[in-house]
This record gives sequence, C-alpha cells and structure tokens, in this order.
Amino acid sequence: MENLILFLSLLIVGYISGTILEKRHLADIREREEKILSLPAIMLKRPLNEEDIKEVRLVGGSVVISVDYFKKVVASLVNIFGGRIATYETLMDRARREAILRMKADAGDDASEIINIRIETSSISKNANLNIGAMEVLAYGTAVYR
Amino acid sequence: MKYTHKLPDERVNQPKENFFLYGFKLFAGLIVTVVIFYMTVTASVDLIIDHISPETEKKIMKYISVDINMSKAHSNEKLQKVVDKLTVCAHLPYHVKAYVLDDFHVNALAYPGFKMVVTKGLLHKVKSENELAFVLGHELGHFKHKDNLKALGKGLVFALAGTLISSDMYGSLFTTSLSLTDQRYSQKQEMAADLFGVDVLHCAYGTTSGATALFEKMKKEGEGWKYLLADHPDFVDRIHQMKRYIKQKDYKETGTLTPKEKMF
Repeated sequence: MENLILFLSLLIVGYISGTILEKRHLADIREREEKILSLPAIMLKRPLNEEDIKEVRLVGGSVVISVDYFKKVVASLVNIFGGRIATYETLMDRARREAILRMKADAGDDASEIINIRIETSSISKNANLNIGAMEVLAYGTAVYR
Repeated sequence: MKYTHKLPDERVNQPKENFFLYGFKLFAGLIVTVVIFYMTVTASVDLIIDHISPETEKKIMKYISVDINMSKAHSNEKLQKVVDKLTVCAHLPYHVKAYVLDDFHVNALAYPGFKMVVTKGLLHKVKSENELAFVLGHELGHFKHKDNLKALGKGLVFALAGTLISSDMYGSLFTTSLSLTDQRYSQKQEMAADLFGVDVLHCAYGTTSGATALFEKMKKEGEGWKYLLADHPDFVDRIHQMKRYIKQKDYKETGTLTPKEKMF
C-alpha cells in the first residue's frame, strides 16, 4: 500500500512540475527563436553565396533534457500496448529546438549563416540500475562569417 | 536561391493530446488487462485443479509439503482422533495429520501436504467438541476443495508473470496490484469451506448444534479478531449463510453438545 501511495505521489508531482516546466521552456524557446530568426540555419552543404567569406568555423549546441516521472510511466504503459509515445514527442521537440538555439548562440551575432547542420540524439538512460530517463540532442554545423 | 525566415510550426511536432487523459486511458487499459488476466488465471487454475485425480494431488503434495516447525507444534492424539472421525465424514482419500501450535491467537490452518495446525488459543476458546469439530471441518473443506493447490497454482502463475515483466518498472506495480486482489483464500472459498464444515459436523455428531458458536463469539468480541477478519469474510454474513444452509438441508439444529476433552 505504501508503495502505491509513493507511486501516486510521484506521479502527481511529476505531472504538475513536468507540465509547468514544459510550458515555461516552450515559451522561452519561442521568444528566443523569434529574436534569432534572422540568422539562417540550413542543411545545405555549401553556402548560398560563396563570395566574400572571411571565416568559417564549427559551431554546436547540445542539451540534455530529463523526463518527469509521469512521462516515464506513460511511456512504459505505451510499451505494453504499443503506439506513439506522445509524452516523449514533445520532449524531443523541445530538445531539438533548444539545441539549434544554442548552436546559433555559439555562432554569435556576427555570423551570416550556419550551413551543413546535423542533429543527433543520444539517450542517457541506458544504465538500467540508475534508470535515469534523459536524452541528449546535439546540433552542429558550419558557421559562415562575411 | 532565396532563404526564407520561418519559425517552427508547433502544430506539426507537438502532440495534440492532453497528457493527463492520455495517461488515464492507458492506466484504465492496464487495469482492465490485469483484471482480465486475473480472472482468466483464477478460472483456469480452478478448472484444472478441480479435475485432477487424488493420486496426482498426493504426488504434487509430496513435493510442496510444508514442514511444520516441531519446536512450536506437536502432534496430539486427542485432536487427531477428532480429525480422523471427521475425515471419514469428509470422504477424503488421504490421511490428514493434526498438530497443535503453541500460539495464543485463535486460528486453524490447512497446510499443503495434508497437514492441519490448530492453535492452543483456539483450543482454549472452543467450549465443546462440536464447536471444535466445525472449525476442523472447515479446514477439511479447504482440503476437499483443493484450495491449497488452487492458491499455489495461482501464486505460481502470478509470480511467473511478475518475473517476466519485472525487468521494467511495471513488474512491481503489476505484482503489487495482483497481491492486493489475491488474498489467501477467496471469500467464496471460505464460505464453501464453512458449508462443508456444517456437513461434516452433522455427519459426525448428528446435529449442527455448536456450528456457529465460535463465529458468534468472534462477532461479539469484534476488534480483537482483526487478524482473522483480515482474510475471512464478515462473520455476520457467514453465520447467516450457515443458518440458511442448515435450514435448507433440514439438519438438526438442537442436541446435546459433546464435552471438550482436555487436549494439553
């Protein structure tokens, strides 16, 4: 019975804190995306205009986001029945956008564009004993300075 | 080529579900699955065990026989005599060995391996042999209905299921929810054993007098019997059901009670 109470408490705490943090993070991402929108970030291997390039360099942004208890429980329930893990989809979306924002921040205000962007993810929850549900998203590319 | 600035469209990658409802639906699904699993296992185990022969039962019992702690429990000739008398009426194809346990609690238990343990507390509490015979008959009912084997069979399947899925965090939740629903014997089994006890009592003593005496005492004392109440259905219901059964079977309700022999 104690286990059940502990489980439900963690679930409620996870749901409330997870929802609040997610809302805040998304609002913050939107605000920063609008501010930094003018810096093009593209997947093309070559710059749009190859003239007048003073400098190019590698820039990257990485973020590690943890899941809350509620999301983790819902995900393991989906593991039984199958289907989309919606609770992780929003998490991944946040992580990808945050990583790109950090990469843009790494490039700085004087960059004219970032090309050849790659996005990679890795899971930091492989250790079964610790059972930490976290994922890393790394975005990197070539910043072009004119 | 022209580069166009565009903010990410959140409608594409953000799920539209309300997570709370989403999780709730999944939980409901899990509960329904567990309930269906529990009911299927219970029904199939009961069905299989009801159909096994006494020989097979004896063979299985040999392997799962529980060793009684002989430092606390000892066999008792007088008690054994009463049990033997009742075993004949119960039409059991095997011999049940009776033990007295040094314990002040009022309890009697049917153990795998055709062993029955009666506490000193119970022997103190009963005032006549008939009263004791009913309790012993109740335990013989558990043997007759193979409740021991059924509990064991279900326990095995649930433990196996728990182990199979316990690699993730769900294993423990699953087994917890099952253990909440899995009491030692179900209320139905207890009630069936009560009626069997009444049958055996009537067969051995020619009267059902004294059948409900112990339960009446327990009902009066209420609180002090919590440990027994925990996995036994409400005494009021049980007394009521036994009285109805006695009427229905037209059993003699009155008669002189056989005095209890001093057993220790």
